[in-house]
Amino acid sequence: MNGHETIRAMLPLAAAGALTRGDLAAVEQHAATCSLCARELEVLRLYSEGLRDLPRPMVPAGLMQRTTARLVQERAAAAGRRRQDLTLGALALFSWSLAAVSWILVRVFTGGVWIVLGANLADAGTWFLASALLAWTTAGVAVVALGKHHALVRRIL
Amino acid sequence: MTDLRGLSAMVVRIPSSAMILTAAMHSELTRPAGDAIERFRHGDLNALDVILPQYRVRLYRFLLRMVGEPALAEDLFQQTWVRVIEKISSYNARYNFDSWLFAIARNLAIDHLRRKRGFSLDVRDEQGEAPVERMAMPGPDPLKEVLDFERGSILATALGELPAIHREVLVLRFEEEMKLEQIAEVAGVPLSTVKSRLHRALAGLRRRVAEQLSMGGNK
Amino acid sequence: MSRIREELQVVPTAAWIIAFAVYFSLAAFLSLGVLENSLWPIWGRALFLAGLPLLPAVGVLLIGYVNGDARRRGMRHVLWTLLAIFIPNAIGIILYFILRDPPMRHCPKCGATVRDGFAFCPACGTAQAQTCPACRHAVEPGWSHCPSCGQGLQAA
Repeated sequence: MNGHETIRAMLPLAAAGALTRGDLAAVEQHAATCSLCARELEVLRLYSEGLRDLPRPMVPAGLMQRTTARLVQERAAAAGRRRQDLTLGALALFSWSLAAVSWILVRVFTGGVWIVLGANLADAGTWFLASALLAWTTAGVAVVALGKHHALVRRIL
Repeated sequence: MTDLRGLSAMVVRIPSSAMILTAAMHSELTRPAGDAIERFRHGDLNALDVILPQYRVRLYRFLLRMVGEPALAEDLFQQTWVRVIEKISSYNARYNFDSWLFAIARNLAIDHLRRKRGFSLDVRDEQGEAPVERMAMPGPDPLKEVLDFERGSILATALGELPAIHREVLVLRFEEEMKLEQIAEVAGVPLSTVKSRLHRALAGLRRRVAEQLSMGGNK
Repeated sequence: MSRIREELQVVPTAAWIIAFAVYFSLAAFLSLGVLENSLWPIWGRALFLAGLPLLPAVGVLLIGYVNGDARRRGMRHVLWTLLAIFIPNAIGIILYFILRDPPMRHCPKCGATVRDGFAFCPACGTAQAQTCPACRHAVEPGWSHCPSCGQGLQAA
C-alpha cells in the first residue's frame, strides 16, 4: 500500500502541506529509511519555503481611490444602460402599435381599398410590410447621411 | 480621501474615510468580516468600505503574479470588483466568499492571458510536463547552492515562466495558503486535477530554475 | 417620479397643443363612423374611441420630445425633428434615442454649456474634469494611465 512509488507520488503534496496527518506520517516514516525520497522531500520543501517567502509586491499608491472611482462610474453607466434598454423596448412596442393604428386609420379613411403600385395597402399584411420597408429604408439613408455609423455601432454594442 | 458615498446613491453618511484608514492600517485579517459580506449580499454597497480594504493586498498580489504587469493587474483588480457588484445577487452564501472572489479574479486573468498569447500554452504543457516528472533529478538541486536573497528573484522569474494554470496553483497554495479544496473551487476543477497540476507545477518550476541557473553561468 | 416630470418639460408647448388637437379631432372623426356600428359592445366602442387616437397623439409628443431634447444636447434639432416625423412607424424616434449625444454640462464657474468630454470650458477656461499632467487631455477618475500619452497618473 505504501510502496516507494506511492510515497514518491505524495512527496510534492507533503512538501506543500496538503496531506492528512496519517498520510504525512506515512511519508515521513518512509523517508526515514529511503534516502532517495528523503532528498527529494528536502528539495521540495526548499522550493515550498522559497515560494512562501517570496517578497510581497507593493500595491501601487491610490489603488483604492481609483478603484472606488471606477466602481461609482460603472454603477452610473450600468444604470444608464438599463434605462436606455427599457426606453428602446417601450419604443419598439410603440412602433408596432403605431403601425397597427395607422393601418386601422388607412382602412377607415379609404373604406378598405387603397391601391398603390398594384398592391392593396389597406390589406393588413401589405400595409405592415410596406410601412416597415419604408421605415427601414429611410432610417438607413438617414444613418448614412448623418455619418454616425461608428456611433451607432458603439452605442448598440 | 476616498468617497464611496456615490456608490449606493443613497443619502447615507458613513465615516468611510475613517473606516478605510483603520482597516488599511491593520494587517490583513484572515477571516473576512462576515456581517459586512451579508450586508453586501443584501444590497448594501457601503459594506464594500469594509470588504475592499481587506482583500486589497491579497487580490492585487494574486493578479500581479498571474499577469506580471502592475498596470494590467490594477485594471483586472478594478474589473474584478465591477463583476463582483454585478454578480453579488447570484452569489450563494453557502460558498466561501474568498473562493468566489478569487474565482472571478482568476477567470478574468485567464481570459486575458488566453486572448493575449493563445490557449496552446496551457494544453501543450499539460501534456509535456508529464515525462519530466518521471525523471529522477540527478545530483543535488541547484537551488540549494544559491544564496538566500537570490533565491527569491530566481523563483519569481521561474514562476512567471510557468503556464498560467500551474502558476495559479502554486500562488494560491504557497502565497495565499489556500487548502487544495478551496483552490479547486477557485479554479473550477476537481480536486484530483489540482493535485496533478501541483505536481506538474513543482516539476516545471524545478526544471526552469535549473535552466536559469545553468544558463546564467552561476557556479 | 420627478425625473419623468423633468423629461415631460422638455416637450415644447406647441407639441402639447398639436397632440391634443390630433387626439380630439381623430376621436371626433372616428366617432362619426363608430358610434352607429352595432357589431361591437358599447364598452368596446368607447375603448376604441378613447384609445386609438392616443397613439398618434403620443407620437406627436415624442416628436416634440425629440425636438426639445436635441436642442438641449446641442444636436441639430431641426434635422432630428424632421427625421422623427418622416421616418414611419416611430423608427426615426428610435433612431434618435440610439444615436443621441450625451447631455451637455454647465461650467461650474461661468455657467456656459460644455460638451461631454471637454477638459476645459471654452468660455472661461476652468478645468471641467481631471486632466493628464503631461498632455492635458481629460482623464477619468478610475484610470492609472493617460490614454492619449501614456503618462502615469497620480492618485487623485
